[in-house]
Amino acid sequence: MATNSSDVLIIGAGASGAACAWSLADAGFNVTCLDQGGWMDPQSYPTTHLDWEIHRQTDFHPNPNVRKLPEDYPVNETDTPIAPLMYNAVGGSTIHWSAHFPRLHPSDFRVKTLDGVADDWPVSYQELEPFFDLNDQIMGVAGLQGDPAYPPKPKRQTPPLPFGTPANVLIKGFQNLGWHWWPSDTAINSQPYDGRPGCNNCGPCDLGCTIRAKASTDVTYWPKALSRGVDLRTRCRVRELNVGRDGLVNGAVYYDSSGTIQQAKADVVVMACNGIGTPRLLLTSKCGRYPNGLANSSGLVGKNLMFHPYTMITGFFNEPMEGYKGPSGCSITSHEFYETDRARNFIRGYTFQVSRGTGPAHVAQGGKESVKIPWGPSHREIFSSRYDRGVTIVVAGEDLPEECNQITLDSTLVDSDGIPSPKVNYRLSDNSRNMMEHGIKSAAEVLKASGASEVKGDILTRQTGWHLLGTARMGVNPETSVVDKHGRSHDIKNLFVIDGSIWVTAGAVNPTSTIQALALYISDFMKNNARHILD
Amino acid sequence: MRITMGESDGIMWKFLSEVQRKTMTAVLDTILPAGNGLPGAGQLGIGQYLDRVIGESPEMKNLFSAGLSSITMASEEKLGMGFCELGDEDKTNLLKEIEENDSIFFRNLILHAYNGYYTNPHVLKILGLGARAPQPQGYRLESDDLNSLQQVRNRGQIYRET
Repeated sequence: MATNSSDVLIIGAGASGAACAWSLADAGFNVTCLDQGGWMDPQSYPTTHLDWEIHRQTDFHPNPNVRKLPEDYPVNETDTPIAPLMYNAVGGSTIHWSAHFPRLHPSDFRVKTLDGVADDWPVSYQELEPFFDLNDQIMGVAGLQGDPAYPPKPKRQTPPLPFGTPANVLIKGFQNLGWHWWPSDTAINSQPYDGRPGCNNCGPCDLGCTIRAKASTDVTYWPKALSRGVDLRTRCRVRELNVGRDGLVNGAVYYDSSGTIQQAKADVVVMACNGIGTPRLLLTSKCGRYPNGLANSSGLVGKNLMFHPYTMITGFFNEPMEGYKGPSGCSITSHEFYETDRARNFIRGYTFQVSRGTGPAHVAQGGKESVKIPWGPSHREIFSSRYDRGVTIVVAGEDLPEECNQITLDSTLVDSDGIPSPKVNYRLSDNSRNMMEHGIKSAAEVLKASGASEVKGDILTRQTGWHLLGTARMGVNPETSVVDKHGRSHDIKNLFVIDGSIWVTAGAVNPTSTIQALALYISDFMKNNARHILD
Repeated sequence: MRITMGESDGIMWKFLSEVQRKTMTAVLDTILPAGNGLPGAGQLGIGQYLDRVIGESPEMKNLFSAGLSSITMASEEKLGMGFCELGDEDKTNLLKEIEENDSIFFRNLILHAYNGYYTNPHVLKILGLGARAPQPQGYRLESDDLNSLQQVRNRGQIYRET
């Protein structure tokens, strides 16, 4: 078995792993990163094929249980109404993402103080601001500064993406109601930036960007990280982390791309496998000294799983929307209902993202609103009233942390290397249910105020578990948290977690911008305290 | 005895026999009939797409073998003639019964009929998308007048301080 040693071993080459690898290597650290997936070839993404829509149902489905690629591992999703979605590759789930790039609000870091529920984070928006800004520069954000839903931000790297007819129609509705709306911060170049072209509005960003206008970390952070000497090993599946007699982690055992067992040693280990992969590996790595898994004296590894409950409401109009033009997930957003309003029957809030159109096969199969078009004599007329006539409001709500929502190790299901699969136990709280009902009504209101003749879709959408948060939460108290404010395990001082697992609360926005800002913040701590990490 | 090869029309059929092709064409024209400038799915030749999909999987071959057979048998037993000879209304009603009695087969039939039809270049062209994939051409979009944001700005800060 080959062995080697580095300063830092990072597990996972996705959103947070890439940012950390670059940051540490840029400061001269010797970094190794392992990912069980491989490099994507942008030229082979389905958007160059006529049958691109069908790939979304098969090899480019967001759910690993449907996709079943060699680098996927099965997940037991029988006990959750929201299916977890993720992707293993250099770039991780940013390969499939729609590149929504909002930040958490300042109030999201003070939920206990402001709203009397959940907990406060041990970090603040203000402390993360320099890292948000740095991350924006590397990922490249299209948008417009001046959004009154946020403290001031610097000028975005490129101008807002074009709205297209769908958003322009809905702007009328938002204006009529006097509700907040703003061009979405999106990690897609609207013009050439940082050696990557501007978007050519082809539509299905979730199937990968062949021209690299969309920021996935394989085309943003990784080239920079590699040029600074990071040793990135792909198709290397970690089986467990190793613990020495001193109780510190000292590396990991992994299967390399030929299936040979290998060992990577390091002074510091960083977990970047996100809200399902990280607790899974920490629990699998249990040993004599840590019989309940690593970093788990609190018993909270795997617990407090938070998704963002999603529902999708589509309004149908009597004119062509040309929704096939432009990045399908991103145009404008509304934070009208973000902050808590005690007059409502729920705490916390939700956001709207105005989504563009979808392809004809998807519309026929039910569209984002999941209402299948019947076959037979009525099909043509119904299809004509729906295809290229719909604008979808995607409602994302804030989940609150609950210990019963959790990841555990499944008792029988394993991956192709015999490593125990994760099991998801999740249920929607009453607060979330009330919130989503309110969101459905508000979305319908703005669609009708925009002139929609018909509105459809009122269910919690299942295949929306993109955001995997909370399962190794940050905190000051080791009894009620897994890591401290610098992502450092309370139990094992050279073990860090930098991904969505460390989130204390979920906010009501897509998490990647904040995940990466936290990863850079934690990397900065590691760089400034390298000499003392093992003290 | 003259043996007709599966490739008599130039296509290498993987699963559907000559008789089954005729039934499938009629079934597809019932599921997605012509209208609004679009051809019927059978007429358009989507049977070929289904043949390829079915032919790739033993489970699908089994499912469609039984499923197509059930359509033929139901038609002959209840209405005394083959499915292709029925009138449009009888075809629709018969398929509705099949849908109720054999939901797994029917669900797969609809899934692949819709997929094959709505990714066909002829259909994409009529729908205004062009007979092409999204890349490498993409689409053109104009940039926007952002003056309407003044109303939002005028409202002022909507985030909570901490």
